[in-house]
Amino acid sequence: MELVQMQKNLQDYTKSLFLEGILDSQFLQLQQLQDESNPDFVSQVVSLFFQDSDRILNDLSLSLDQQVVDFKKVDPHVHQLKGSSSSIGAQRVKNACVVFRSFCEQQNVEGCHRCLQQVKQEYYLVKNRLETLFKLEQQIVASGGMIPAMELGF
Amino acid sequence: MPMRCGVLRYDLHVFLVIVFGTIPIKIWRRTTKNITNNVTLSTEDLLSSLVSEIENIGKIIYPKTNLSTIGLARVIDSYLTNNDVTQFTEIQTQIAPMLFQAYTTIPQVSQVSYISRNGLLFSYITKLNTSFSVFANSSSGEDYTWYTQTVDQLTGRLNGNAKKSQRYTDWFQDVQGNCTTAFVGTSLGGEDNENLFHRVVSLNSKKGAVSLGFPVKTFTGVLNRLNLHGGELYMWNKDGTLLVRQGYSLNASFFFSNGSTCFGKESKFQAFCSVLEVSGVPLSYTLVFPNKDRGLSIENASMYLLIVTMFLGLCWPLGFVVFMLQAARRDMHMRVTLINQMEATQQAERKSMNKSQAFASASHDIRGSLAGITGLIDLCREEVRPGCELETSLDQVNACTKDLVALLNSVLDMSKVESGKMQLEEEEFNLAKLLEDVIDFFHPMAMKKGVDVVLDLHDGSVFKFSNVRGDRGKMKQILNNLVSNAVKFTVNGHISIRALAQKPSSNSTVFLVSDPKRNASMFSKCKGIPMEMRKSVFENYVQVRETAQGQQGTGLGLGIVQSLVRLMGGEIRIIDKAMGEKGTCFHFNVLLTTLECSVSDMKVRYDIEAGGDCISTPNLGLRITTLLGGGINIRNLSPRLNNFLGSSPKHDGSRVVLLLKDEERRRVTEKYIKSLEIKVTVVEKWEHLNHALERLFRFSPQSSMGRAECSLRSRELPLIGMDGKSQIPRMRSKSFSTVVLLMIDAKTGPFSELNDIVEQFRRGLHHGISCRVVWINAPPNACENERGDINCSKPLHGPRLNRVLKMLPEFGGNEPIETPSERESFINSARTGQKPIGNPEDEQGTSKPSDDENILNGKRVLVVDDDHIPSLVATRNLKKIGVSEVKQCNSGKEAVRLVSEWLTQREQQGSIDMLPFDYIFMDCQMPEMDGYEATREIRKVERKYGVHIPIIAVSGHDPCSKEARETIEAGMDAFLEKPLNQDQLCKVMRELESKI
Repeated sequence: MELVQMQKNLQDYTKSLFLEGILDSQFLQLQQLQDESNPDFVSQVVSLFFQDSDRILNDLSLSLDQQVVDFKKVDPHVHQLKGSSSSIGAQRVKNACVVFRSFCEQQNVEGCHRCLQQVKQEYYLVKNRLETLFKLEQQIVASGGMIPAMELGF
Repeated sequence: MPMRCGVLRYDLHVFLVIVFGTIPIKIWRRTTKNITNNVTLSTEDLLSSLVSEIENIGKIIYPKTNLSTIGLARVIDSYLTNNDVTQFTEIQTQIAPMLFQAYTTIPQVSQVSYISRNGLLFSYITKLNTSFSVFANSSSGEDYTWYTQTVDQLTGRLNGNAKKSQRYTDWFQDVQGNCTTAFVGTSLGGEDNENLFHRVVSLNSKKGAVSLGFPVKTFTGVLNRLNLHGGELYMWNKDGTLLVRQGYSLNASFFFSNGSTCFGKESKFQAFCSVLEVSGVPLSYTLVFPNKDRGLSIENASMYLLIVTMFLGLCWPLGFVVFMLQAARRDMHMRVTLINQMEATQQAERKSMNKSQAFASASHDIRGSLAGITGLIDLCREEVRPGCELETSLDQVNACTKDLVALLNSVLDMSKVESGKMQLEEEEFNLAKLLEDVIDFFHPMAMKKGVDVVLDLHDGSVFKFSNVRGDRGKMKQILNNLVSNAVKFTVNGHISIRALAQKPSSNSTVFLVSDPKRNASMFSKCKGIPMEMRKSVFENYVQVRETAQGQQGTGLGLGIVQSLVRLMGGEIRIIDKAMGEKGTCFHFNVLLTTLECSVSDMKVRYDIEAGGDCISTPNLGLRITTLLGGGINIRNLSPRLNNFLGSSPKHDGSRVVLLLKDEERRRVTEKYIKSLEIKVTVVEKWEHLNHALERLFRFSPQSSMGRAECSLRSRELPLIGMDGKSQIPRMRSKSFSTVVLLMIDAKTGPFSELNDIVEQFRRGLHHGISCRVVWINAPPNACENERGDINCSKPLHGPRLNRVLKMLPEFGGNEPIETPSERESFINSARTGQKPIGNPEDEQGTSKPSDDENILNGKRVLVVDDDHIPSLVATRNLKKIGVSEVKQCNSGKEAVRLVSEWLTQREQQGSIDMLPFDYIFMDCQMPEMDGYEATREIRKVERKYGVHIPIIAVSGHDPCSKEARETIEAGMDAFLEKPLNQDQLCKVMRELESKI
C-alpha cells in the first residue's frame, strides 16, 4: 500500500478509536510523552498494561469463582485495573471498572460476575484495537514513513 | 391473619352490645322503682293531708256552739228562778228579748229557741235570709199549735200575722225532757226542711230547755270546696243520713245495710274511715282513692319505658352490628384492592428494574457488537481496493455505526441522568470560544439548507466574563443539541443564538443569557412547536409529530438537555414569540463561575435563548444607520445631525460598511459593532454598495479630525478583551488615520462586480483614509492581494468578529491582525469543516511546552504508586517537564521509609538543608498503607527535622470531591486528578513553585 494511504488509514483508525470512546485524551497525552529519547514509550506502557491486566483479570476470575467471595481482595484488583486503564486512556475499561467497584461495594456477586465479563470484553476490545494500531504504525515505520501526529481536541 | 383479627373484633362487638344494652335496662329499673316509691309516698301524703284538712274544718267551723248554748241557758235559767214565768205572754215579753239578743250576737246561728216543759215554745229562725219567729202559745194539749210570724229585724218584736205552721215533732218530744244533747235535725221553721246542727241544753230548774241551731249547709259547702285529687268523700251521721258526698270520679255505689256502711265498686280502691265531731255531733266519713288505678298507670308507663329502652338497647346494637359489617366488608374490599395494587406496583417496579438492567446490559452488548463491526469494517478496508464502490459502502457503514454509537451514548446519558450519577466536571474554558465553535460546526450544515446561523453576543457581556469555570463538555452538549435541533428543523429563515452574561443577584453572581434562536422562516413554510406540545417536548422519547415528519431521532435530546441545564443550576423553557413571528425560541440559563480577576470567584449565570426571529424590515433598498461618537454625544446631538451621515461634518473615526446577505446577521453584527462605538453603515443589496460608498465618502473627513479625537479620547471603550491574549487594546490616545472596513459577503452578488466596486472605491479615497476588506465566502484565491484583504469562509461573529475589528485603529490595529499563517488556517479549517483556529488547546500546544519544558528543571521527585503503569506515565510526564531524577516506589510504607532514612542519614552528616525529594507524588489508594496515612507519617517524621516536602496527591477522584478535601486535611499540598494530564500537572506545579 502506498505510504500516504497507510498514514491516512492510521489517522482514521486512531480517530475511530476516539469516536467510539475506546480511548480518550489520556492516550494522546501518552503519545505526547513519546519522543526521540523514548521512541517506544507508548507501546512500552501499553504492553505493560496488557501484562498487568491479564494477570489482574485472571486473579479476579479466580477470586469471584470462590464459594465465598472475599470482596476485600476483589476491590484492590479492580482499583488497580481502573488506575492503569485510566492511565493509558482505555476509557471504556475504566468506565466498566467504575461500575464494577460499585458492585463490589454492594457486595453483589452476580453483578460482579457480570461486570467482570464486561471488563474482559472491553479489555479484549481495546487490546485488539491497540495491537492493530501498533501494527499499522510498525508498517508505516517499516516502510520508512513518519507516524502522523494526532491532533488534539476530540 | 386478617380473618382472626375479624373474629376478635366481632367478639369485642358482642361484648360491647351486651354492655351497652344492659345499661338502659338498669336505668329503667331504678327509675320505675323510684317512681313507684314516689307515687306511694305522695298518695300517703295526700291522704293524711286530706284527713287533717277535714279534721280542721270540723274543728273550726262551729267552734263554740256548746259554750254559747250553755251561756244562754244559764241566763234564762237565772231569770226564771227569780221570776216565775208560766204564761206564754210572759215568755213573749220577758224571755223573747233574751233569745233575740242571743240570735243576733251568736255568729252563724240560724235558730234560737226556748222550749218550756209544758210545751210552750218560742224561737227565732233564719229562713231565706229573713228572720221569723215560731212559737206555740199554749201548752201541749189537743189544740197544741205552732205559729209562724215575721219578726221586726231590729227589735225582735212580732209583727204581721201569725200563721199556723206544721208541727214537727221528730226531735221536739225528746228535747222536752230534761236532757242536754247535740244532733242533726231539721229546722223548726217549716217547709224547706233544712238540716241544722242542734245544740240543746236543759235548764237547771227543769222548767225547760234552750236550743241553738247551726246550718249544715255551711259545713258541707266548706267540705265541697276541698280538692280530693280524684278521690271521693262520704260523710254521714249516726242515723245513716248521708250528709256529704263529694267527687264522682269513681262511680262507686254507696249504701247502708244493717247498720254498716257498704261501698260497691268494680275496680279496687283504697278507703280511709274516721269520725269527725262537728259542734258536738259525731259524723262518720270515708275517703276513697283509686289505689289500683294509679299503680296500673305507673306500670303501663314503665312498660312503655322498658319497651323503649329495649328498643334502644337492642336496636342500636343491631344497627351498629349492621354498620360494622358493612364497614368490615368495605375494609376487606379495600384491603384486597390495596394488595392487588401493591402487587401490581411491585411487578411494575420489578419489570422496570429488569428492563433498565436489560437495557444497560443490552446497550453494552450493542456497543460491543458495534465496536466489532467497526473493527471488521477497518479490516475489510485494509483489503479493499481503494476507490472502488465497496470502499464507499464501507465508509457509509462506518458512518452508520458511528451514528449508532452516538445514539447509544445518548441513551446511556439518559440512564445516567435518571440514576442521578451524572456529575459536573469543573474545568476552565472560554465560553465565547465555545459558542463560536459550536456555531462554526453547524454553520456549514445549516448553510447547505440555506439557513444562516447567527451568533448574537448582544452587548458583549459574554466577552467580559468569557473565561469561566464549569462543565465544558456538558455545556457543549447542551448547545450542540439545541443548535442541531434548530438546524434540523429549520427549513427556511435563520437561526440566531444570543448570549449574555448577567449577575443573578447582589451576592456577586453574574448571569449570562444566551439564546440559540431556533427558527423559522418569513415565508411561513416553517413549523414551530405547537403550544400544547411545549411541555412534553422536554420529556424523554417525545417528538413532536407534526414537525418530526421525515426527521430522525429518538426524542431523547431535549430531555437530556433539560437534565443537564438543571444540573448546572439553570432552567430551560420555550419562550412565547410575538404575534406574527414564526418559529420557536428556547431560552436557558446556567450558572458558571467566572475567572476574571475583577470578578473572581463570581458565579456567572448564562442565559441562553434559542429561538427564531423573523423581523420584517421595510423594503428599503438602502438603510443607513449610524452612531456618532458615543453614548454621551448622542444624547447631546440633535437628531438632524445624526440623520444624514454623508453630509455630516462630524464624520470621523473608522467606519464599518456591512454588506451581508442574511438580514438577521446584518442586524446583529450592526448592533454589536455599534455597541463598540464604531460607526456602521449597512447596505442591504450589492447594487446599492457603490452608491452608499460614494455618499459616505464624498466629503473629506479631515476637517473634523480634531474634534473627533477629543470625543473619542475622552472615553474608554467599554470593551474588555475576550481573554488575555486577544485582548483588544484600549483606544489609543494619539491621533490615527481613518480606516474604512468593508465586510462583504460575496454571496450577495457577483464577486467580480463587487470586487470592481471595491477597487473603484479604493482609488477614489482621500488621502489619509485607508480601506480594508473582509470578504466572506469569496472564491478562494480571488482576493489574495497585497492590500491585506482577508477572505473568511466562516461566519463572522463572536471572537472572530472581534479579531477582524482589531484591524481598526481604535483598537490599535493598523496592520491586519491575522498573520498569513493564521489566515491560512482560517481558510483551511473552513474548507475541511474542522475546528477553527485559535482554539485554546492549539495555542497551548504550540506555546506552552516551551515554558513548561523546564518548569521542574533539575528537581528530584518521588512517585509513590502501587500500580506501575500510572507510575510510569507520571515519571515520563515529569521527565518531560525537566525533572532530573524520578524515584519510583510502590507503597506508602516504602515512601515513609525512604524519607525517614534519608533524613536520619542527613542528620548524621550534619546537614539537612537538602531535602530528600523536591516533590512527592502520592497515590491515595494503596494496599497496606494508603496515601493519607503515608502523608501523615511523613509529616510526623519531618516535624523532627523542621522540613516540609511538598506532597501532591494523585487520585482518581474529582478535584472537588470529599476525597480531594481529605487529602489536604491529611497534610498534602495539592491535588491532581488521575490520569495525569500535562497541562494540569504544569499548572499545579507552577502554583506550588510560586508558593515556595
